[in-house]
Amino acid sequence: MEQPFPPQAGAPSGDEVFEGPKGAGDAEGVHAALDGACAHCGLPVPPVERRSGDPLQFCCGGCRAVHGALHECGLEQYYEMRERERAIEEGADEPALVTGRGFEHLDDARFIEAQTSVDQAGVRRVELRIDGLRCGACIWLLEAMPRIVRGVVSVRVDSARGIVRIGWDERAVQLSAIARRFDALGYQLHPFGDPEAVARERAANRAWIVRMGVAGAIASNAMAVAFALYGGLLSDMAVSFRLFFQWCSVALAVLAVAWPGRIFLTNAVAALRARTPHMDVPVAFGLVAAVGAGIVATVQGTGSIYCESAAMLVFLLLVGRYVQYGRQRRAREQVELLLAIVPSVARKVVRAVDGVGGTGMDGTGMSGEAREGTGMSRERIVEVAMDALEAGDLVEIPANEACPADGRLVTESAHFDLSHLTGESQPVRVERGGPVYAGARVLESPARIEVAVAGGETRAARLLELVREAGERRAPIVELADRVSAFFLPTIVVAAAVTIAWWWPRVGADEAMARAVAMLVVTCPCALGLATPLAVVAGIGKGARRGVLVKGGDVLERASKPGTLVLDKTGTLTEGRTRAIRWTGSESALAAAAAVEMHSAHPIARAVVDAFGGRAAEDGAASAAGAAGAVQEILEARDVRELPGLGIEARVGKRLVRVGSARFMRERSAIVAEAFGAFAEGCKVAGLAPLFVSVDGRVEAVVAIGDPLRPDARSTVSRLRRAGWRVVLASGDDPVVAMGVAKALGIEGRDAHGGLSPEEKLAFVQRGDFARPVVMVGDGVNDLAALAAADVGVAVRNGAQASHHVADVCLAARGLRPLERFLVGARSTMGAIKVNLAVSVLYNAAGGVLAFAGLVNPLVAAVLMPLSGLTVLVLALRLPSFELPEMDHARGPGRGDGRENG
Amino acid sequence: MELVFVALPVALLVGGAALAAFVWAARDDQFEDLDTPPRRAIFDDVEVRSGRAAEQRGKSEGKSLDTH
Repeated sequence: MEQPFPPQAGAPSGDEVFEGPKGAGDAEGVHAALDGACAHCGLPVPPVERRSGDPLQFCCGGCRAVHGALHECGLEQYYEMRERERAIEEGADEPALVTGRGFEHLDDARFIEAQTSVDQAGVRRVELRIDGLRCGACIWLLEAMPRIVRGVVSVRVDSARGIVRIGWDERAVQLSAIARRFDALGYQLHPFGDPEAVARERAANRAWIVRMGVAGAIASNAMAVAFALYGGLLSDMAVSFRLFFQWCSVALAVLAVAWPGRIFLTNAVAALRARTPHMDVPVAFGLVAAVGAGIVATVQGTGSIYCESAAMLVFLLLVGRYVQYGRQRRAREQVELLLAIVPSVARKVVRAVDGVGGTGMDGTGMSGEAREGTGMSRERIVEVAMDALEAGDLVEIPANEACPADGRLVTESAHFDLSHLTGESQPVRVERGGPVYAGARVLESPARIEVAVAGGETRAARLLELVREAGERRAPIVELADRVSAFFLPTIVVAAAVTIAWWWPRVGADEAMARAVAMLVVTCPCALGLATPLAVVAGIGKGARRGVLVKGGDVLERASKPGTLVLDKTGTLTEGRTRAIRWTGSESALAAAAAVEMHSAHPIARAVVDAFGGRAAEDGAASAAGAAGAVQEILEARDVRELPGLGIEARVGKRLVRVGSARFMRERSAIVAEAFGAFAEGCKVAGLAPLFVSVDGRVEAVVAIGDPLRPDARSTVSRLRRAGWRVVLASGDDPVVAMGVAKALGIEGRDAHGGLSPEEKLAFVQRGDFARPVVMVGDGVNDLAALAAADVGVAVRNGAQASHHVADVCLAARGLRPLERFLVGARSTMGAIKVNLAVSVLYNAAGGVLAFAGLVNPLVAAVLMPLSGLTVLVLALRLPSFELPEMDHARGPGRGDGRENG
Repeated sequence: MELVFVALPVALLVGGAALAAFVWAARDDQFEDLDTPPRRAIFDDVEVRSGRAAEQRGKSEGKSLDTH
C-alpha cells in the first residue's frame, strides 16, 4: 500500500533538501527568482506565496516589502553588494521581517531626554540596538540612509555589537519616522534597557585595552634595555653605562607595575582584606619583590635586577585577564540582546470614553487606530513601551508576533509557539483564560491577553536573569599557564639569591653576580609566557578555518578531557524543523492535503505544503504542456475551516478533504483502512505524529510528521561514546519523543531526558554526578542558561542568535561532525600546550642549573633566550590539529538517519 | 658610546609618543568595533553611483543633498 513519492519532494535524507535551494541562491542571488527562489533573500518560495506571471517571486510579505522599498529608494545595488559579501561569509539567507509598527515610543519626551544628546550643530544623536543585520551589505544600506531620508544626518553601524548610532535633525524628521524607514527595509530599532550600563561597560573595555597596550609597550622597551644591559655586562661595560641601563630598566618596570599592573596590586590588597585567597596575591608579591629588589640593587650599585621580567609578566598576565574580561562582558551584553525575544512595544487596548484621550501614556503614543468596540465604549489600540504595562492591562498581539508580558488569554483559544521558552517544537494550544508567557508567539490569528506581570517579572525576564548569573558565576578556571607563572617570579628571585649566597664565599662577588645574572636571563619567562598563547592561537586559528569558532584558550583546556556531553534534541541532533518524514497513500490525496493546508500557518501545515505542494505543481507540468496552471486551479481549496487542535477541512474541487489527527478522523467517522492504522501506530513508536488525510469520508493517506535526525547524528554519537564521553540527551520536547530519539541514537534510557524546562536544563547541567567537564550543546533560547552554566557551552549555527553570544564555541557548519572536530581539536591543542610548557620549563630548569654551575655566561644566556621562544613557536604552529582521525566515507546520504531505519 | 645617554631617552620618547597615540585611539573608541570599518572601506567606491536616486529626490524636493 505504501506509495512514496520520489525522494526529491520531501525525502528525510536531509542534506539535499536543505542544500538544494540554498545552493541555487548562492549561485544566482538576484536572478534566482527565475528558479523559484525569493528575489530578496534567496530562500525557496512556498507555493502559497507564489504569484503566477510575476517575474519576481518572494518567500514572504516582508521580503516583498523590502524589495519594493529598496527599488523605490534607488538602492538596488544592495543586491550587488550582498553578492560580494556572500563570497566572504554566509548568513544573508534570511527572510526579511517588516513589522509595520509605528515606533511612537521613540518620540516619547522621556526617552528623548534620557537617551539622546544634542551636539553643537544642533544634531540630535542616539544609540540604539538594531535587529536584522545579516552581512556587510546591510551596513552599506543603513549608512546610505542620510541620502534617502531627509533630516537624517548620519548613520553609523557597529555590526559586531548590533548597535546603530543615528544623528538627525529634529526639526526635519522625527525619530519614529526614521525607525519606520528602517523597519520598511527589514531592520528594527530597539532602545537600550539601561544606556548607562552600556556606557560603563564601554569605558571598562577601553581601560583594559589601554592597560594592555601600555603594558606591551613598556615590556618591549624593557626587554630592549635588558639586552643592552646583559650584552654589556660581558664586554666590560663601563659602570656608568651599566648604571644608566639599570636605572632605565628600573624606571620602566616601576611604570609597568604602577600603571597597567596596578590592577594586580589593588586586587591582591582587596583579596587580603577579604581573607579570600586569590591568584593575584602571589602575582602581586612577585611583581613587588622583583621591582623592589631591582631598586635596592641599583641604588647600592651592586647586584643585578630582574625588572624586565616583571614588566613582561605584567603584559602577559594582562592579556590573559583581558580574554577573561571579554567573556564576562559578553555574558552581560547577551542579556540586552535577548530582550529582543520579548517585543519592546505592546499594543495596549484602551477603552476610552468618547473623545477623551484615554489612560495611556500621557498622550504620547496616541497614534493607534480607533475602532468600534463591542460594547458602548470605544476601543483604541495604543503602542506603549513594554515596561509601561501594568497588571490588568489588556494587550492585543497581532498574528505571528510575540507576547509582550505574562498574562491570561482573554480571546478564543489559540496556538502558541513556545519554542523560545521551553524548546517544545510543537505549538501549544492555550484555552481562553489559560496562561500565556512573554516571548510566546501567537500563531494563526491575533489574540488578546490580560497582563498579569510585565517587565522584569515575566518568566522570560527571569530566565534572562538566570542566563546572566550563570555566565558570571562560572568559576574562572585557573589556566595552567597562570598556575605556572604565578610561582615563577618568586622562584627565580629565590634561585638567583641562592646562587649569590652560595657562590659569593667561594668564587667572589663578581663571578657570583655574573652567574646570578645568567640565571635570571636564561630563565626569562618569554618561552613560558609564549607557550600557552601560541598553542592556543594556533589551535583557534586552525579551528576557525574548519568552521569551529572557539572563544578562548581555557575553553580548549576544559574540553580536552572526556566528560559528559549534554545534547539538546531540537536543532542539535535534529534539523529543528517540522517535516513530513514518511507517508503512505494516494498521491492525489496528498496533493489535495497540501492544497488545503496552504491556507494554514500552522507548522504542521507548512510541513505538508513543503513536502507535497511543489509536487502537485510538478505533476501538472509533467502531465501536459501548459497544464501547470490548470492543476493549480483544480487543487484550489474552498470553504476552508480550521479546527484548532484537530485539523482542517475544505473542499478541493468536488471532494471534501480533511487533514488532521486520529481524533479528528474518529469525530468525523472517517473510514480508516487497517493498513493506515498500522502505519500510524508505527509512526507513534518511532516518535512521529501521524496525520490523516481523508477524502469524502475515507482515509486515503497518512503522513508521519516529525523533526528528522541529522544524517550524521548516530555515527557521531557512537564515535564520541567510544572516545570516552558520556552522551546525555536533555530535551525540552515530549519525553516519549526524546526517548525515541535516544533509541535511534543508541543512547541508554537513563541518559535520555525530555520535557525539561529551561530552569530544569540549567539544574541538569549543574548536577554533581556528571563527570566533568560538562559540555552542553544546544542552540535554542531555552538552552541559553544551561549553555552559560556548563563548563563548555557549544552553539550550533542556525540556532538562536543569542546562543552564539553565550556559548564558548560556535560550530559554523550543520551537523554533529563539527562538534567532534572541536573535541578532537581541543585535545590536540591541549597536548601542544603541555608539550610547550614542558619544553620551556625543561629549558628554564636546565638553563638555571647550567647558570648556577657557571657554565653559561650572561651573553650566551641572552642568545639562548629567544631560541627557546622560537622552539616553542615552531612546536605550537605544528602541533594542534582539528582533523578527524578517520572519516567513514562509506556513509550514504540517508544511512545515518537512525530514525528512518527504525 | 656616550651617545647612548641621549639615544636611549630619545628612543623612549618616540616610543612614548606612539603609546600616547595608541591611548588616544583607544579612548576614541577605535578598538570598540573592529568588524565594520574594514567593510565600510569596500563600500566607499559604490556610494558615488547610488547618488543618482538621491539626486532625483533632491530635484523633486528642491533640496540640495550633495553633502555626504
